[in-house]
Amino acid sequence: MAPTSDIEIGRVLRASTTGFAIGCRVGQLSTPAFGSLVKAQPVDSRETIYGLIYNMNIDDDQLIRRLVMAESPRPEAINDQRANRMLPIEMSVLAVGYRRNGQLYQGLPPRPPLNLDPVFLCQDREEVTGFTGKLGYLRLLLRGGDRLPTDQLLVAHIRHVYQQRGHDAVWANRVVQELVELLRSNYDLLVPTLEALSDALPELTVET
Amino acid sequence: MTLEFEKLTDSLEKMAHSAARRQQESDALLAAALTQLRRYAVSWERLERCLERAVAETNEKFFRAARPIAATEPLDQGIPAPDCPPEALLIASDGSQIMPDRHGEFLYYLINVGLIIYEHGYGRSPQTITYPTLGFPKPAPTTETEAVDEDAFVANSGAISVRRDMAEIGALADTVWEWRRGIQPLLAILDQRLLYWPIGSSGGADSQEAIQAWLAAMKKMQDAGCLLAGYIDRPGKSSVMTLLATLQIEESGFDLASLTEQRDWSGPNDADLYGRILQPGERSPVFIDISHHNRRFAEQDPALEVCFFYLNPGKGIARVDIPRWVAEQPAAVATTHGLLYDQCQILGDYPYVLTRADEIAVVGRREQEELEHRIALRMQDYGLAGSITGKQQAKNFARSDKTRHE
Repeated sequence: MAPTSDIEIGRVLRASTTGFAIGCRVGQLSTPAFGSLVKAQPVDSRETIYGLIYNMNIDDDQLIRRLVMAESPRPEAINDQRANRMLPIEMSVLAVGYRRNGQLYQGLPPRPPLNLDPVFLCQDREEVTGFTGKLGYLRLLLRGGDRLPTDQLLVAHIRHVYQQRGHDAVWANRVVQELVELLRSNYDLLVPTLEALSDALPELTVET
Repeated sequence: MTLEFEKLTDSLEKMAHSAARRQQESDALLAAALTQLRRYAVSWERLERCLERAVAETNEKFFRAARPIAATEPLDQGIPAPDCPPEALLIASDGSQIMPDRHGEFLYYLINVGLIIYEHGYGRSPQTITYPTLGFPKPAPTTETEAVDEDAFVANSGAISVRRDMAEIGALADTVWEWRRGIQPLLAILDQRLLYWPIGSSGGADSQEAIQAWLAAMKKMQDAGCLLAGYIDRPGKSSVMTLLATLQIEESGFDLASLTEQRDWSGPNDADLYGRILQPGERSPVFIDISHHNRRFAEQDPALEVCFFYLNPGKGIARVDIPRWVAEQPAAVATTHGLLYDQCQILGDYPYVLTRADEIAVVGRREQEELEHRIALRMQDYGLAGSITGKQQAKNFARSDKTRHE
């Protein structure tokens, strides 16, 4: 069961072992953000699958293109497009862990979620703290390849979790140390990541 | 690929050559018509006299022309779009159908009407509604008008089109009636001509019934106090061209038959004529449609007589049909003109509400497959198994790797 504080942000459109795509309505877009921790929560006994949002895609069609070309789109038409027309907003999620029989695991899930499984934004502090307590999932993020904007995703995710954990500087510094360790042979990624992190969390003393 | 394009090379050449020659002829005729229009733009007495004589001396069944509704708007002048009312309610409907398929698994037809309620000036999201209707062969004996015989059911496509038209205007009239005490002005819009005449039906009692139903729906909208417009994109009417042709009726040797041959004329039409005059947003003067169909409308109720004007919606020329109860009130015409042009500006050249009503109404191929899947499931409950014909099966195989673009 998802904690009552969790917010449903859409449903699974398609999935694989390494991640899944979520379709959501415009009204559901206000809470999820790039880097957020989310979970696909099956209604049956299958695993809850955790992931990080690494991309959001908003498709167009011919009607949207014509409206964009209009000098001043009417608010009625804009709201019609957003509320009535069936153009889902698509979010891509990198799978980073799962929960089975109440036990949390970091790593790829044994099987992907199914189409239309509901997906929730992880809001519950205890759950977020529990999942991010270990940092093994960062390896999956660093191995995501070219499809991921890795440095920006790391920074966005760390900033979210830092806040959700109650501005937990100890945790943030552990993450930095872990990144330094994992990226010691990849300065091209490490340096911009630490610089961006310093900008995003100026109150944090990044100790390298 | 089975189309051997090289075998069409000669035909393509002839086609382009023919089109170029027709264009030259058409340009010459259009220039002459424009000269006539400008010369007689305010010759109200002569226009009326010639038109009356043409009506009296030609076969009414084949004579189609236009009469200016008032001697106030010169025929060669475009009338700019007035300011749009700050608030208004627009309701538009459109329909689509799936025709019965003899080669399909089960015999059925579907009519789907899409309707949009758009509160102009409020910024709110419009409401959209659909009204799907499933038709199928009924067991005999039946009191329904539905054909029992499966061959007749399949051959009934003309009647299904008429039912779709009735469903479109019926849903529009009912919705207008529900909203009649709401936001004013209320403009109801159809994506077709108002001077309805069933095409493809038997022409018998069914047709008369359809026309009566159409007129009843128009009357209901008049009683609701709304404005009504039928919007026709790329119209083919030549009624104003015929009006100009009647100006020669007093000349000796004039061939009266030429006035009734206009209907087969492939030369320039009214849209070509006003395409040379109207700037974006401008409309033509309002005309009354002169035809025996419209006479029947007027005999039923003078307020239902169909009038029209041409509009430059931003690109090309559209015709806007309006009933006489709108046409004879300059303020109502101005409101209709202003709201329609405002709608056209949203997408550039076509009313937004009609685009959306069409989109809501259209049943895509995937939806059709889902419907047929559900029909098959329900049939299984009764131990009925459908089968597609060998012909359809072969088509499915042959086309299976091709993408259908909807």
